[in-house]
Amino acid sequence: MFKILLIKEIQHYLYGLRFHVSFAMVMLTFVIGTLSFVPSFRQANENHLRYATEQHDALERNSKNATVAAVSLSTFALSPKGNAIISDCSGQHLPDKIVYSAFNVFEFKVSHNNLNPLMKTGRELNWAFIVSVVLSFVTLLFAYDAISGEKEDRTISLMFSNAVPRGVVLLSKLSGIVLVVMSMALAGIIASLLILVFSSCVQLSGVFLAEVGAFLGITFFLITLMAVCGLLASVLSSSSNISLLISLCVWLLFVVVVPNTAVFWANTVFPIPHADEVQMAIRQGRKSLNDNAPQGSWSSNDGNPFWDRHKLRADLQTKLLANEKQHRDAYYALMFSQFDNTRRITLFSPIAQFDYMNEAILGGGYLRFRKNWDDLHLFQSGFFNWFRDLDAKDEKSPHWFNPYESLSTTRQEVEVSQIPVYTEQKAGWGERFSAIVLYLSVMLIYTTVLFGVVVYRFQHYDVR
Amino acid sequence: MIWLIAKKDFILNLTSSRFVIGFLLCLVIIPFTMVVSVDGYKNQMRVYEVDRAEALKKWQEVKVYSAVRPEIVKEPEALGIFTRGIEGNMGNSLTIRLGEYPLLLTGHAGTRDNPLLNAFFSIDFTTVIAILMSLLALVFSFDLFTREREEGTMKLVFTNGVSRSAFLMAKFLGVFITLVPILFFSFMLSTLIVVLNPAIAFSSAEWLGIILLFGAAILYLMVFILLGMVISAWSKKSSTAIVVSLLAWVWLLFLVPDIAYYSSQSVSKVAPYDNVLYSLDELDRVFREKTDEKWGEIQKQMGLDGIGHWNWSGGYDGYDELYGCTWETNEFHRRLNAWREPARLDNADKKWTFQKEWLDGLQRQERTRQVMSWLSPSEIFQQIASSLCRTSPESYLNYMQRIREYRATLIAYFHGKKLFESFSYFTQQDPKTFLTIAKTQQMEEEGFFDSKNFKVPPYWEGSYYLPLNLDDVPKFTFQKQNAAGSLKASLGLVVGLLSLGIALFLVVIGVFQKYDVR
Repeated sequence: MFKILLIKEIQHYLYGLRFHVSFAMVMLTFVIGTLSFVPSFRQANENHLRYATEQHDALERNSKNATVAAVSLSTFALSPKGNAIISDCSGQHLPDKIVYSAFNVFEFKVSHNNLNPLMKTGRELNWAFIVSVVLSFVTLLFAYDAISGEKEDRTISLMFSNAVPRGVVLLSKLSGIVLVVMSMALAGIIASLLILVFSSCVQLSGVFLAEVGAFLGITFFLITLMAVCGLLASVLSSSSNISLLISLCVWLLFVVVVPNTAVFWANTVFPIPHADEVQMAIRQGRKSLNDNAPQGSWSSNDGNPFWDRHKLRADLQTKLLANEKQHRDAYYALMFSQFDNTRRITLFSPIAQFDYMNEAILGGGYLRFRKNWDDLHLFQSGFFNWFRDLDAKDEKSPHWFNPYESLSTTRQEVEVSQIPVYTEQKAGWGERFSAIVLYLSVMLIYTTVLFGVVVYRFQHYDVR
Repeated sequence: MIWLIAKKDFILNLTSSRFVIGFLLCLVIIPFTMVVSVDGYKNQMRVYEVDRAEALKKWQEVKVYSAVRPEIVKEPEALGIFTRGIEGNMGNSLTIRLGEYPLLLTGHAGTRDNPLLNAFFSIDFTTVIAILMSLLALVFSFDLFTREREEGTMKLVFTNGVSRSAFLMAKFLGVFITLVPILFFSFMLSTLIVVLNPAIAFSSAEWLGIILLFGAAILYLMVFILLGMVISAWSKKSSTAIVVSLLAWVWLLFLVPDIAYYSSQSVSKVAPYDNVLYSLDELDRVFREKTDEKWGEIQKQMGLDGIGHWNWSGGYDGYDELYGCTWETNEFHRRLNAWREPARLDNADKKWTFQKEWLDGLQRQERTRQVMSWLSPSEIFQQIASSLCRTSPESYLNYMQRIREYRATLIAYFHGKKLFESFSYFTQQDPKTFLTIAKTQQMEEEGFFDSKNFKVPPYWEGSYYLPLNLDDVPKFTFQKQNAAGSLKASLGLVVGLLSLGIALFLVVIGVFQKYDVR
């Protein structure tokens, strides 16, 4: 019985106008999105390559003096990722550069280098965007009149005259919608993959295909949840017009309202101090250290590393760095905590759940940034140890570590290849799956609870 | 008769669930959006006040003309509360330098202290209006004809001798007078949030800007009502009309803008600014090398072995401040500046060719995006709104152009007073008190400096001098565009939106004339 009903449902949808129009729209978006992605990804790769070359040249110049290599600020820039066609994970809005030296990880930057500042930033036209905005909408459009529409057409009462269990009807409708919408997603993804193959833009490696598979998996969960929402709207009313309005409200709530209120919650529920207040605290600390520093702390003599005032200078500079680091690190911790907490609030929206799951499976976005931020802190202590060991071997060095200047530590030349350079370690599958658990659990609980309500309502639905 | 039908539709609409839901949606979404925008604006204003005070303090402490590098702090645009435009992409301040043309504002960017929050999707009031009003217009108009046809009431109407065009007008009017109160309520709610906030004070020009924005929103609403009517007139069934209407809505509101954004980047490519920076760094390197050469040359001309300084502060963009130095050192710096500062200006001109090319590329790309996004009425409306609220790229570029003009005025001032060739460019010390090297050597030989009673003359220290009186230095002023100017700037787009409305109206008349009412 289920099979017959399912085939009937699928045929009903496939021959309908909404499928034809939606399919054309989805395919067109996938194709245009991929065609736009190819040149921009190439350009981003070229830019990154040039940036890396410049960084290497700077390192080569700095290698003439080991201390210069240690105190000079290096910038680690996130490289473009081929899986950004699946989802950019809000990467263009998140920090993509981290500044560090052997003495500290200073700051992160949101670089707008590749973005046109005269343009209002748009959302990436990638697979995740198409699924979360277009396909979620299309799913509701398929589901909103699945029950109420049949009631208006009086076909549902006819169906139940054949003693069909209500649960089977519901399940066949749900499966039909999910299969039809998933077929659209699959067709779009295949078209997109074909373009990527022919353009030789992205290598279809095993990892990439595994990511595509995982993406299809979470797409399935999202579409199922949205279909359940549509069915809920359908069983809540006997009029398809009301069902439609409920569906539209649900979609607006998930896609526009909840994400749009994130900044409101962040500022009101999880406020953090203003950036200039932190800057002021740093300035005050700096002033106090300068005022209380022994006289001659700022003196220098470039020709004589052992000049005793260099020790005072190194001490003062170390204290200044510690002062800045203390305030900045505390502020960064607050920023991360504010961001994490706000994300938890937005979990109310399945679209947000879907986005965070994408981030986890692709190892991108905030997950990628935080991993690099944490890894860079570990790397920095290793970098400092390397410098300290090098300095210890040099008899011409007084070993007075100054985090900003090359005055009182080793001035020996080093091989460029010996200077530690941070390289990104991609998040492993274990890390990715552990990151996904929370979001997937929320989505599954959501789906189960809502489907339970749909079943309950449908059991009591007046089909006359 | 037109009014009778329109009134009937209006009353029916008022009691419908769509009206209640539409009203509630506005009631929920608009306050959230406005509170976030107002909060952002207040933060911008706070940063503006802090930065302005700091810039003023720096200005009041200037003691030499080589430190005259005015800092421009841009006042946040109050109407940005309604339409953010590109405000969030830009910084808020810029220091006028001789060695570089003002390109884009730097300083505090955007409105948020935590840059991570930019990852959250956030929309402004105009976008909310664009999304909600278009949706409501379609939801109210998709079944204007199909429902009457399905219920058989349309035949009945036409048996009473009502003309088709009168019926069409009445239908349009019915939806229009239903939605205008919701639109009006949305504007009232948002302005109420602004008015109730004591930290925000709108000028009359800004209120006029909001009234004009309301006018544009009405025009936008009409376009979507007409679009819904066209779809309804083309469809035989309401179920078909609603599917087409909603898919068209998603296409026009969510896909066309993003497609235009990404396609424009492929069609009109711009290299990243890092590439420009590489060229600028190279020019600066050459300039530094030439300066070093000139340094040696002047030293040689003056027969000096080296340049000694008693009290010298140096910095970026030609800043030098000298006190207690010998006549030779001061003369050396005077001669160096007479060559170096005009050369710095020439170098800035060379750098500007690269920067301008990049800026032109950005403008071209943005223009391409704008034109491509005209496929969506919502984008036309948003462009009108950002123009009226002075947050459009054009407004921003006008501001930057004015800053460049100011830089030229400042340079003319430097030239006019022959400051580059003067001692006052880098010191306030009276040239009569400069000691020659021979004199200082003689004093040294006589043990003058070793004497226990030796005290540095006060005029050898910077703290001895009062800040310069900079009253005659040109000041930066910027006259904000008034409402009429903003309207003039967006007139083409307003005409475009109006033309689209007229075209849709003609189409609906044409289609409805052949509509089978049976």
